[in-house]
Amino acid sequence: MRVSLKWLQDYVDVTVSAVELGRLLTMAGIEVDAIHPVGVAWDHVWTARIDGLSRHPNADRLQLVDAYYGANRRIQVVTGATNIAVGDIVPVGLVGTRYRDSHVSPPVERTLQPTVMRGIPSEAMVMSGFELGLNDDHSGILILPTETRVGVPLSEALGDTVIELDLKGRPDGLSMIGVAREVAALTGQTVRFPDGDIQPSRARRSDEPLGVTIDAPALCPRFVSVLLKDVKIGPSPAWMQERLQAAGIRAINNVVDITNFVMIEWGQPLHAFDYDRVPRGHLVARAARAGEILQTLAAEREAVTLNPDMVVVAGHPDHGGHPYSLAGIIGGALTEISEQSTSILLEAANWKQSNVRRTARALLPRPTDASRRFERGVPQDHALPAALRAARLMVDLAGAIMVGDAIDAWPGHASRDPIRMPISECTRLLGITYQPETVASVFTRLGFAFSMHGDGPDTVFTVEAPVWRLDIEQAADLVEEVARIDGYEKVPSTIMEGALPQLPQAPSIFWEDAVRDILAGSGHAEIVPYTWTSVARLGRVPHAASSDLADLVDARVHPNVGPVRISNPASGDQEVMRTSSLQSMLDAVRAGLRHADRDVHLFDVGRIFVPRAGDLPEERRIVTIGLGAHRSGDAIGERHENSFHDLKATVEAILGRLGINGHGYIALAHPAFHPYRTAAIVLDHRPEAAGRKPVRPEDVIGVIGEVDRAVASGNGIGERVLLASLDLDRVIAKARDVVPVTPLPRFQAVIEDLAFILPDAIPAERLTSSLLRTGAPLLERLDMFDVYTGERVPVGTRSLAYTLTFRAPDHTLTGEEVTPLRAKIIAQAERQVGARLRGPDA
Amino acid sequence: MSDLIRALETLEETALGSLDGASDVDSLERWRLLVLGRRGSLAETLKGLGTLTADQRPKAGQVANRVKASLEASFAVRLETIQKEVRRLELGAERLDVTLPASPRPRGSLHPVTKIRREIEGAFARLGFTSVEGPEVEWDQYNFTMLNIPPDHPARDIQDSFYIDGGSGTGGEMLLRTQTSPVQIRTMLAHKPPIRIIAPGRTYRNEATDASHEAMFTQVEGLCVDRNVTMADLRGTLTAVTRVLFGPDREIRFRCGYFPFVEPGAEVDMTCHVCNGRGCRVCKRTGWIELGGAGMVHPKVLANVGIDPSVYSGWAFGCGLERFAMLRYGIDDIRLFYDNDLRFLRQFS
Ligand SMILES: [Zn+2]
Repeated sequence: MRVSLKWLQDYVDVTVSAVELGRLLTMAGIEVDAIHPVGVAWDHVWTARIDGLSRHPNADRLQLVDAYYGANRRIQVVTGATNIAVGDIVPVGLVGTRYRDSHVSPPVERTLQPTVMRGIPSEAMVMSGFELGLNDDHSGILILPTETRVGVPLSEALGDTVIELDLKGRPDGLSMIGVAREVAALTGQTVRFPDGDIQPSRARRSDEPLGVTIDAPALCPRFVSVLLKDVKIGPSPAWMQERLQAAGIRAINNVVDITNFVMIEWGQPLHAFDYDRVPRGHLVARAARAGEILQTLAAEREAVTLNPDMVVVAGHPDHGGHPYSLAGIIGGALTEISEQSTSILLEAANWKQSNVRRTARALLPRPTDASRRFERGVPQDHALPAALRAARLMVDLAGAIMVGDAIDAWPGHASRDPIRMPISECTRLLGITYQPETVASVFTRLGFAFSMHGDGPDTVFTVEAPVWRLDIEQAADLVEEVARIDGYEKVPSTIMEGALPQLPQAPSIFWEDAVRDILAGSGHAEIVPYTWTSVARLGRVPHAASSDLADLVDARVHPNVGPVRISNPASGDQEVMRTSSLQSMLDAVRAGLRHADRDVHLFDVGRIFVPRAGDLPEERRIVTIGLGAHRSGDAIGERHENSFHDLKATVEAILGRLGINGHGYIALAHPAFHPYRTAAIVLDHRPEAAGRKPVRPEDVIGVIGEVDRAVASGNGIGERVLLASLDLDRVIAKARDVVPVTPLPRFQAVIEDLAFILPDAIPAERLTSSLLRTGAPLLERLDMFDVYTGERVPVGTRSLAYTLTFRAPDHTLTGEEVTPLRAKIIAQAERQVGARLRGPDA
Repeated sequence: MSDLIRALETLEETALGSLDGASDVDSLERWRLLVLGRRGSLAETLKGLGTLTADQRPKAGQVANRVKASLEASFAVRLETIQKEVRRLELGAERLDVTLPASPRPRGSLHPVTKIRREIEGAFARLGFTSVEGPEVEWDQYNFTMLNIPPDHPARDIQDSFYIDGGSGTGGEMLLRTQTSPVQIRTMLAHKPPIRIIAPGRTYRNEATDASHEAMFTQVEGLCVDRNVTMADLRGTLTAVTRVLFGPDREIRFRCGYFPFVEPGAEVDMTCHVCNGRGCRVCKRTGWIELGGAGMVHPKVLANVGIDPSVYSGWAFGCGLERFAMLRYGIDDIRLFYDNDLRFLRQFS
């Protein structure tokens, strides 16, 4: 809310500077967004009277203004504005004037220079409220009140300071009286309430009926109606226009201005109906009918279609019961005040917060001044004083007479229970022990009625809930009042003394970070992609079509499901939550390759979202690693290709850290990947059973491979890319942080090297597995040290060389033990996987 | 006899003279063979001993031994000198330019949000706080209603939400959580006090992005519930934590602030870590830096989760991790966090 200090001083003496007032309010919980000194920028702006207007000789749409600005000074001004007439008093800016130019967007500040407009020199401008920075009205020139002195600096005539308040939690702050109460409490002043003293000028005659019916008391707890006649519509006085302008509201005529003025003064929205258009002077607060149409007074003037959840003020049912206004939100065209209106029916009602809010959001592009107040809460108690204050102003400023007493229907009247606040509650919540006098003085300054019982730390305050503070409901609210008025800075610094809770750390967080450390430690940069994306983007990484294993991989890290859809995305790139982190990784790799031709090594530890019927989606933790084609070599300038097995080493490091073993890699055909350079990563892997035993879905934990060329280029990458993606949740479920240590061997080992010729079609792991199984338990280790393909082995085969370490736990092995075992290993390798021992010359 | 002695002395003089000429291991070896070898000049000369009489021999022998020892010692010295020189030359051939760049080895990096989260977790862990997680797609009930933000409450304006298509169920509508406070609710529903948790996590708000606003961002919230937990404890805790993160001189200030789920509520400021409160560009000349919101858990929120607000009290705070990271690392645009530009990310290696 924009609070003019000039206006505020009508209700309370402001004894501190604007800046200090801003600080006090901010510390007390009413945040000051900005302080605008109104007028400091108006160095070269004067009040001027328009003594003549004539058509520009060379331009139909321009006028020449003869402006008189005192002391025999006049100046000719060229303007395109049309809302001015001879005799108007307007601001005239001379050369050097700073003004906001609204012809460009966003508006810029400019300094007025002498110019020639269509052949006529122009060294001044008549100015709009927008150009002055006063308001957002750039539809025409700002017409100053007729009693404004001509020929004085504008800052003298209009200068003020406007404080912009942010009132998240304080509905009462949307009124001048509310702010005045706060200022009074903070600065030790007292509030002066506006004059609402009024008696009816005469009783109502029988031909002046008046009535109110509340059909929906739950939605309309109070409705006050006042009849005013002999109203003379005209401009409101300058002081009122000025105040409204400072509050950011355009002056229209005295009747409208008075309702707006009192709304801002009391925070109670009012509405004026044309009495002559309201049959029997009778207003009905009722639920709208389905399909009912109301022509509103909103700027867009659009007709809105209502439904029974909404509330209207309508006419008497015997006269059609037409809806007149959208209750608490905006008036309607049917009963609108016109220049000819002479009788006014004034409404000061109270409406249910949530209903006003819902209706306004459903029907209007933005809240109205009235709906903003009602949705935050307007005290029921304010309806009558605000209505009488407005009536008084109508009498004083619009020549009206008040006819008969106000009608006051108040079905929702309920007394609020007093609030009990033991002073010990302050100690318990704040850690401050107040003296009872301190607390009493705070309540007094706030104007809260209270009584005290007991003494010292046993003092109990009983506080009447202040009607203007709907936010105060219970003791904790009063504790906050005491703290903020006495000063939040008095809260000391201590540390909890209680026992430490026994809440265990979730293992997932621990493991996520362990994985991050491994990946960052091995040269990968952590990325954090948006978790939302578009369906089109997700589609850039295809799903498996047929293969069982590829389906299982997809189900784990790249599920082929309809994603969780955001119903109100801000852009197309936010329409769904990602179901896979492969595509976002490809995006990041592509971006990385824009600036580097090597070492684009990235990882993402994040969530994917898998829908579940009738429940929140599963949020699955996924680690995805992406590598560009090259990495730095050991020497300066060298560049090596990243290989599948480089990435496999990284995956092994992760699984090793998580204490996983017994896992393996099964060659995989998947449309997103290279057909011969891709593997599914599986738990509980037994190479000897490969092909015979189906892979269990729960054992598939991820995928590793080179991205298919077409998929890479579909994602904007023109080189090889490697990806690995693991379901971390699945792995974490199997993770072990503490793996028992194996004792160091006490006896000598026998170490032998053996090389085998193996057909290319047989995976190496099958030979390894055969050797290990046959050699157990004496074969302690098996290390492959050479892989050879070439002219020294038969075509279609390769040579695999191993170092075998034999050891017994309880004695030193002898040749007699090892020799037959070696023979058996060799024989079984041949029988089980078709591997031949490679002779010395082979 | 004096001929022999003279010959030995001449030999010594000549040999020592030629020893200086042996400049490498090979020529030194040749010198050794020529002079000290079995057929070398010393051996040849000593053959003359046989022609001497028995009483002449000791004297001549003495001289011969001295000459031999002298030559051998000089040889050893010369050998060592030459070997040293050889080693020096060999090592010289291995000279490196130590100012050349290090071997190219890409350094990994943790995302700044990860780094700052860990720093914050570490600071809170010292005080017995555990990190807790929750879903990013939440029920309206946990994200709003149980936090004292009923449907159609104006506070929902401050946190405009993204809703999930067709997502409604036991907890009302589904939405992308706008805060990590639902983790507090879930924790309080599942555990009885004492509770000390922090809840870091991704959050989403439907608002325009600019240098200081992102629609997706990361929050960390803290919650402490026990008997006699006070706002002073909140201030003490936040003071301790900001001192870990931003230096030992930091002070915490509370301003009254409104958040529907706390009462009393506070905005939390910290003395500026750049200017120590004197006023600078970072703190917009105020000397204070806004950290986030905090307060005592609203009695209605405690009641909603079945904790008796007349017995227990609790404090909660919340702030943006990106904001912390921006302050800590001097980042001026929040959009950098999710651009995933390697040139930015690698600065956190
Ligand atoms: Zn500073």
